[in-house]
Amino acid sequence: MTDLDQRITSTLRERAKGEIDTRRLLRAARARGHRRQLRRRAAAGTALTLVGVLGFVGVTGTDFAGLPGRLPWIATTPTVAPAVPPRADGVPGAAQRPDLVGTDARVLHLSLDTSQARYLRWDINVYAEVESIRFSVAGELPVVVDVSRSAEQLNNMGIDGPGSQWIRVPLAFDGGVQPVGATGGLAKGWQPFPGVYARATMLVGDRAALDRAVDALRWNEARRCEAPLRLTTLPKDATVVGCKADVSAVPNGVTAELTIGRGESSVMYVRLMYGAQIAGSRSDGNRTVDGRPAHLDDKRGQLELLDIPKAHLVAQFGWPWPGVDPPKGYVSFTEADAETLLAGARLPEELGRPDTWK
Amino acid sequence: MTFEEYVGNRGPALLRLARLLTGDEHRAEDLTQDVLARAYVHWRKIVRADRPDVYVRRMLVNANASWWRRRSSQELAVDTFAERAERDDLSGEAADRDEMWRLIRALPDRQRAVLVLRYYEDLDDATIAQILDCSPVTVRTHAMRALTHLRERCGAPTTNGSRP
Repeated sequence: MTDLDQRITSTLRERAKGEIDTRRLLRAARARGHRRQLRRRAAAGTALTLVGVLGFVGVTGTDFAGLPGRLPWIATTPTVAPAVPPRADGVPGAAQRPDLVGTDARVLHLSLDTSQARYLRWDINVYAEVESIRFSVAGELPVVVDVSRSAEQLNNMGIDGPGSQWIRVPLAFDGGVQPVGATGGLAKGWQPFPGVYARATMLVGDRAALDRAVDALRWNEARRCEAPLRLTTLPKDATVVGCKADVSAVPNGVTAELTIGRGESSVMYVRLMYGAQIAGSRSDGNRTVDGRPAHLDDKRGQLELLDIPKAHLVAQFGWPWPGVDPPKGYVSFTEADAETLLAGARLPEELGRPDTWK
Repeated sequence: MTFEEYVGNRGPALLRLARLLTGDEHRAEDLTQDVLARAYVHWRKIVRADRPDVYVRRMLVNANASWWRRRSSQELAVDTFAERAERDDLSGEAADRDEMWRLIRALPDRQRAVLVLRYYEDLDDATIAQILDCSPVTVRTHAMRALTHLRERCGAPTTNGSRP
């Protein structure tokens, strides 16, 4: 063993030391595991309910033969139009301006052919310089397409695998397809245009399904990052640096998150979680924001507006990860900043209806 | 082996591994609890695996690599805040280890994981490759880069007998 080896070993041994309460670890792991099991069962129950509903629709009269050209997934959602981010008029797509990809939190520089595909989520992250769309083609399992001007950025991102596992997928972006994890997933990396890198991943599926998904992409049309949440006021020197909307559960649920940045590191997240089945209301307000009841969780650095039916609107202004020290020099946004944001937050009348979000 | 027996036997080692991967006591505990909670849900499947401990350690390494991403934190430009060792009140070996720890923490995730698994867990490259879900050649590449980086910055001789 060399001197360097010894120094590494002794350093690691020293840093690994510390008191360990195994019983507490077991108790906490079991409690969390139990909660996780309950959530999984609840999700499975929801899926079974959905299967029941779809079965009912099929039995009671939707005649696919009478709906030429309509896809099965469209036939199951007759009352609310699927969410589609609106066209960004006057803004070129990635095909025309690849240099704009990932630069504007308000604009997706790619889109989908909605006669083939359905949007499930869209996401723009200006700090990461990545634009993403999660979607399904003809009711097949979801595909996520991430686009960036940097191949390295995409390779560093990894993908979320089953069971919340993170899977690193190093791609050559030469059009090749490679397996992902051990679940039968696939990943394809390619360059649709010089200077733009794209990655399509699916956790389960076959190559034909992946190709169909890639075929549904449109690169010559930009779309606005539409979300059922608008901010009319921003704290001083702050800008919107991220926009995300998950519309996979529309009309019964939708989540949206806007990320606000200031300077090199300060971030604040404004999250809207709408669920048609959210019942009751909170009465533990300890603040008012523009005359409206609100709750400040000082410990977690969160301010929530309490008067929105069936929804939670939260501004996370403090350091978002309890138990993790912020980097030296980190400057949080403040409660006053959060108040400014929430006072100017505007929501549509019907959160479950994307056609009212404009 | 029951889940309880596994945590009783291997829980402390997992937590120590998490301390080295995260560099933070609180996050290490949170990470270990989270991974064990997931293992609890799938325990019947995991315990049938050839080497359950390799599987769980892989979960830990992967979870550490992704914790910040799942919290939408890509926006955090933490790289702009390089931590510095507070050496003023340290001397001799303690200062040396402090400096070495700072350098190890600054390594990319995979390189740090390889060093921790090799030097602290004392695992061979084949097992490390299983945990990191990569080839032994990739493990050696990570190790070589990490060691080169450390040598350059802590003044160790460039020719020595460290495993590549």
